[in-house]
Amino acid sequence: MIKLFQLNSYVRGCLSACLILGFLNSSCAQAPTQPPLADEIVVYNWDGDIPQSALDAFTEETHVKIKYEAYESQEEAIANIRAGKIYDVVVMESRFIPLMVKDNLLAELNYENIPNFKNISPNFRDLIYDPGNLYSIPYSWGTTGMVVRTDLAQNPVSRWADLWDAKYAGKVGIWVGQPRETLALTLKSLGYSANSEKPAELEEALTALIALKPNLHFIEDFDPESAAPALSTGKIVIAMGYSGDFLASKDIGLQVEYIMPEEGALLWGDTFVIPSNSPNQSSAELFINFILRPEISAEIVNQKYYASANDAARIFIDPQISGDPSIYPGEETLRKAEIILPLSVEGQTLYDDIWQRFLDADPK
Amino acid sequence: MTEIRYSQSLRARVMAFMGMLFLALAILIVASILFFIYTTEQNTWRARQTEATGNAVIKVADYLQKNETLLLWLDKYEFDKIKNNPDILQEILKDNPAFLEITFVDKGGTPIMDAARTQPTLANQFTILQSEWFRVANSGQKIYTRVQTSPQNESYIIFAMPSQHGGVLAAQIQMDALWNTVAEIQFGETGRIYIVNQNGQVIAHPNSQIVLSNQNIGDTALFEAILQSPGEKWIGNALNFEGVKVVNVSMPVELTEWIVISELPQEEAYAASRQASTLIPVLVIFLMIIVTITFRRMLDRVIMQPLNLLRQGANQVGQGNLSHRIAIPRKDELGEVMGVFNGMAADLEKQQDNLQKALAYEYETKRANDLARSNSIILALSKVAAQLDSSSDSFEIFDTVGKELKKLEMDSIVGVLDDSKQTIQIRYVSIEHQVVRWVEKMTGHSVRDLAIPRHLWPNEKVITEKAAYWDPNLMKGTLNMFPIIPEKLHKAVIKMAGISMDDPVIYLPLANKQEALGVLAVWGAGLKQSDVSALSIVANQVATAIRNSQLYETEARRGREKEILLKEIHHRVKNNLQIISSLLNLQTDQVKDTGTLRALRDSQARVRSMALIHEKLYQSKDLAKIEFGEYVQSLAKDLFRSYQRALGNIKLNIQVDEIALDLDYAVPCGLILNELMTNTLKYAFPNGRDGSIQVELHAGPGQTLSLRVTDDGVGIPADLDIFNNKSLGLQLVNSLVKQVDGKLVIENSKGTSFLVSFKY
Repeated sequence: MIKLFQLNSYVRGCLSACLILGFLNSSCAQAPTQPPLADEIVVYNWDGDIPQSALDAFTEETHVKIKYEAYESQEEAIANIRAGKIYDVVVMESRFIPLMVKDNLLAELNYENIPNFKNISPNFRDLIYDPGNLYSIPYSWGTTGMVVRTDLAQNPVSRWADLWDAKYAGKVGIWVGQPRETLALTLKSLGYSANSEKPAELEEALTALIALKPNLHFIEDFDPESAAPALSTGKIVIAMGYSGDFLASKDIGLQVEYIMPEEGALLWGDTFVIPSNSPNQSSAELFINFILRPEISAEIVNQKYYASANDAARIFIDPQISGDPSIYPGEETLRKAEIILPLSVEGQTLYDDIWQRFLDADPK
Repeated sequence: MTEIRYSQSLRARVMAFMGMLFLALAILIVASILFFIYTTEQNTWRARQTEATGNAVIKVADYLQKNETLLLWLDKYEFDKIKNNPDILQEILKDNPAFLEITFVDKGGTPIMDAARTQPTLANQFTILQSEWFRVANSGQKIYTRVQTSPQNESYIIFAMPSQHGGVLAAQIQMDALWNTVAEIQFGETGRIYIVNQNGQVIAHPNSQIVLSNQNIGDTALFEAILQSPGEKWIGNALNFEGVKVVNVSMPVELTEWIVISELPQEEAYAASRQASTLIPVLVIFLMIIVTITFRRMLDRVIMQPLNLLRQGANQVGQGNLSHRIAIPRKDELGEVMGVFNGMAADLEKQQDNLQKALAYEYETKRANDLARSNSIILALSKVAAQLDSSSDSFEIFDTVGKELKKLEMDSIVGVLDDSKQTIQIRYVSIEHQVVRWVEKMTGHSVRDLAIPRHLWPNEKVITEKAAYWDPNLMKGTLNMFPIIPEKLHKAVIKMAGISMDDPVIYLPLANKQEALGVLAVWGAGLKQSDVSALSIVANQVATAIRNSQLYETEARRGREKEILLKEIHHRVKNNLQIISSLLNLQTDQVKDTGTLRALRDSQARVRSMALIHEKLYQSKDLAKIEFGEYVQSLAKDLFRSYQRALGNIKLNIQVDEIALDLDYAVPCGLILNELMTNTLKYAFPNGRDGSIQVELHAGPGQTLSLRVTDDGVGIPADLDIFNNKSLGLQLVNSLVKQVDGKLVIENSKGTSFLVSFKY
């Protein structure tokens, strides 16, 4: 029989060990683990905006399938997002971001998963619509200028103001579905900032637009996708349009030129965002990071002819594209160009009102 | 001593209790020490770490301040100079490696002056107007942007401030210098700092990979705690980027949106505590073991040992060993108890002694009383003997005996067997005459007619075996003894006679050597079983009386009264001698002194030998002469028997001739034989020595007799003078030999031989 004393010290030893060593023992430190990759992510974008080859390459490498869903307009996309539909990666124009952020609809990005962000051009970093790029990653960008049938234009068109030139009355086309741009170019033609929220300036713009209205075509009446059909009819000689429209027109053999107006072209930018209700944020970030690879971004540019915000991709881009001023405008142009920036809430209301009045205005 | 069960043992319980106590104490001590060490260490480190963090903050602020000061100075004083001579800006850039680019931008967002180490980034930005840095600086505030990484993995931040001249002065500041500064800041062995901005983005870290990989602590509990703390100063524990447990101290860099966070791995912060947590318990346990051992020893020595001694002592005393004493080694409380115990044991011993003495005394007293009683019975007898002679009527004898017994508070009945030996006739009843008369009247029978048929005798053995019988209850045995008397009357008589039927009764046989003559029943309240021996003598007398009267009746018919008388005399003498012998015997019980005892025994033997002569005479046909050969045989055997037990293996060889001796020679010769044999038996075979004794009686020619006692024992010691010896026995022999005019010859070789011869 163990003497009590022995039992005692044995018990004592055990107890002490347990107590004291347990006293200082905390739960094991665990390095933060990455959540597992999703089986599939939903990418929401303009139809065909990302070439299938890029999507496939991603799936092949990561075994994450991509469900590609297309929207027909930003407004539609935003409405769906607000309605709560689930998307993992959404391509959204920069100007819509602040409001989405304000309504907590966008997820804060985890840059640990997007180291390729370093490839993004300084031109598109830390801009006003998303300081610090907390919610968006620049994807592609481009200009809004004028596509002109040089064979039908009497003299070279070089300014937004030329749209109001009597020579071209009735042969001018605007995208009515792009109120911001329309108003922006009008403001610029008047020498104001494309993002002006000054009521006086806007009123002036409205007046100008209303004045132009009888001479105006809506390009969507010809083709909702591209200005090329409208230009090909010859009914429109000067169209407000994008490089895409220019290239499309060239493709169908029209003699056209892409004009960067002297007052300053309009710049647009598409970004990747991740809705806050996405269940697969890290997989989405992986996808974005993949796109940001120089060669992938270059691949997209080479197929879609839209400029990429990815500077590192420059070397992989087809020199014909990278040298194409309609896609990659020169410095002068860029300096003069203005990005369509988000409006304040009041500004937005103002714009809506102005536009509505434009639409209601009676064309004479 | 019983083995005490472990669960009950006091020692075990004390040890367990003290063990628990020591354990608790040990735990308390260890906990306190460790806690003390822990808090001291923690406080020390925290103070140190806070200081280091403060220093780091100063360093970082200085670093930033340095750059800002330069730019401010440029803006304030050198603006025009630079405008005129842009090279100055290049120079400045060269002298300040922290700057990658310095740009002056006008209100409209157009760069006016610029110098860049490599490619101008700021100046080339076509989105200046839409840049956050421009917007903020243009609105009048300075701003540090997030850390940017170029595709070449160069890290920089953009600092922009409003220019005095309108517009913005912006600079690209490379982070390497800051990183180096940060990396240099160390405290302790493994403590270091890093910087985060308000969004939790890591701006600088000794591990540049962390910055490059855009690590963000924005959603960590640590960062939340920091933001919630007043002044963003926070001290606490968290996990760092590598998952190592650290102690963090945070402090904001003033005038920026940066926060310096210092981290000290807990391993270092609590190194002493950890060490102590293994060392201290071991030490304390060791200490406690020693304390426990010491305590156990002390417990045993001071308390358990004495307790065990007391236990043993109590056990011993309990088992009756009252002489057991405990050694008292100490003068403390237990020593006192042990002393008291010893005293108690001594008292008990004394008490026991006293008790034993008292009991012995009581026993002695009782014996003395019993002896006195027996004495008085025998004295009574002697009186009876004195009063009676052969002419006495047997009834007279009975009456005398009965009266004497009555004086001793005993009642008696004498019953005599009739000639058929089948009935006992009541010859005497000691009950008062009135009662007897009354009974005779009631029953119509004389008392002398009361006869008890054999099958109603209370105890046949009294008659058949001539053995005395003690019945503690008179009633039981005698209820139906008298068939003539109805039971009721029997009871009435008894009551009338004042006889208590619960009294004990002794039935004594009245018998001589040949036959049973009857029964003497004696009862009384104070009758004791030990009275049997004395009463037996009485019975003898009574039997003698009966026999004598029978004989007398017989002989009286024959006309041989004289012979009867003679015989009777011999018988009486024998009886008297026997009484004397009995008295002597009783005396021996009272005497403790061995010398006296021996003397008494010797006297007794002598008297017996004389009594034997008279008995022989009483039995012989020639009443004047005794058959001496037969006498020698009887006496030798008798003597031998009485000493036989004390001796080893001794053979007795008797050879006798038939010689008829008359009293004058028979008595002395008998006494001589008694002495010689007694001597031999007493001294010839000491220490259980084996041997043989020869007794020879031969008749010689001319009426001579030789009596010889021979032994092969140790022989007479050389220095013993037979003839002049002072011992009574030898004196007697000499005197007796003279008396018969005889000769004593002693041979002392291979034993001893005594030869006495004389003419008769």
